[in-house]
Amino acid sequence: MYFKGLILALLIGISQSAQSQQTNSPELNKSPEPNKSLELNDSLELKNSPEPENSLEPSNSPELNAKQATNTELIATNARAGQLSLQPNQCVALRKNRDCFATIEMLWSATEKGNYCLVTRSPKRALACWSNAEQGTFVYQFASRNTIEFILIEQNSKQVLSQSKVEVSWLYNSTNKRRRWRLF
Amino acid sequence: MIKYSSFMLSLLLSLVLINSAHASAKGDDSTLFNLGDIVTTESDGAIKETSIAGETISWQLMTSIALRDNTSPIVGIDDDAQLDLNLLFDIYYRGFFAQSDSHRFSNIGRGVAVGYELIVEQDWQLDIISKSYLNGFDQQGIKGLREDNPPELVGIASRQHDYSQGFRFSYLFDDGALWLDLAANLLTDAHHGWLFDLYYSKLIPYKNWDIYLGSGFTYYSSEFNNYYYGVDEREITANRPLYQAGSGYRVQMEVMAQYPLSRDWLVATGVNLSHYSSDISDSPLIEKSSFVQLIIDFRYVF
Repeated sequence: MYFKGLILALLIGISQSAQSQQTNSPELNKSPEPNKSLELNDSLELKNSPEPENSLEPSNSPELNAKQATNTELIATNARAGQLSLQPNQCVALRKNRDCFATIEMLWSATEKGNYCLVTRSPKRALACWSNAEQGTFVYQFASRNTIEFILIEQNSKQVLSQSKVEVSWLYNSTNKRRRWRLF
Repeated sequence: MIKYSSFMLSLLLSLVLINSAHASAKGDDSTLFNLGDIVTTESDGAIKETSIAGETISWQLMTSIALRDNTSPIVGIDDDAQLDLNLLFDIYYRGFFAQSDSHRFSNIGRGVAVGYELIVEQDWQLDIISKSYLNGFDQQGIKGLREDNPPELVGIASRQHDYSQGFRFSYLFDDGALWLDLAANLLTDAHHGWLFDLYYSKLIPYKNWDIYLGSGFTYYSSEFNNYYYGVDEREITANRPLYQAGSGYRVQMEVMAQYPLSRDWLVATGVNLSHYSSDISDSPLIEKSSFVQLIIDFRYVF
């Protein structure tokens, strides 16, 4: 009987988790509200910050260095600095080439008030923008079979203030339907 | 056969232990282990290939920690939840295979199906197989699973684990699979009965979940049923009358869901409903004609 209670509680938890993933809108934001009128277009040209000493400026290389691969990064610029944190920053699917789903809470902050946007790096797509703000949160419904990098930019200068990514991995490489039912 | 299985298991465990010391990122073709003629590579995610003196063996190993209740319809078997630790291994070598059939909950804890591929086509396959379709029991309980000495079983003769041999036909659909086993007890001196087992499973992917809806029909011959559920003169008690079982069937419905917890762990949970025909459920050794089994299973994929 205890076991049935445990299973029931587990199933309810799973159900609520799934519901939560379904009902959380990508537009659900905490204070301050992002300004939708500031959305960027796909032709957005990002400018990397002027490179100070020990800069954590984002690399154009597909292989990010270890420091850049951390969850939270601070990119110092002459004018501004920002921080972007993603929680969780991992998504695990059962099989390769299958979309991985997660609800990502994105928290950002900047050293000064200004107009900022959260953008996916490739393809460049604005998720949300804020005006006259120095911090914000955004809940993003992640659904991708590939690792996605997110960046925080200052909207006017297009400077990248911080970056972070959600890594996608999987248990099974096989995409062959036969191996779903029998391995060999 | 048992000695051979033990040898293969020992070999696999040895390789796995060595592999664990050579941990490698999953997802790439990589050499995990190299010792002279023995080379193990990770060719397809969790599936490993071990080459020994030029011969390649493909295999996969999972450990399963399963919590389940209502493990059996046999009288006196405790319904409380039980924790089982199982080793699920699949191995393939030149058409020969051993597979855990872990997509079906009712197979867990019943060892592996050992077989050989006779015909392999794009969507269907015919194998010759040998596997256990039912766990044996005696007056101590279910052999190897629940031995809690129920008073209802005192004085019964021992029923061996079934081990039957026959053919398996498999047909693969885009999002489902159908299996038909036709097998008889040929190699052991247990019951000399036969059965056929039909099972269909449909996959419904939902977000990160794989949800399997399964339904099965198993028909058992009178020899099979009488060996397990019959009561002979030596077993008669005040509460256990003589019983001669005829042929009968079991119908199963199953829902199972798998979810990845990490790159190595997954959780599988589900419910299985089994219903037995009257030739089985009327036996004094059977407590109920239908029972529901709940399972939660944590699996580590090596």
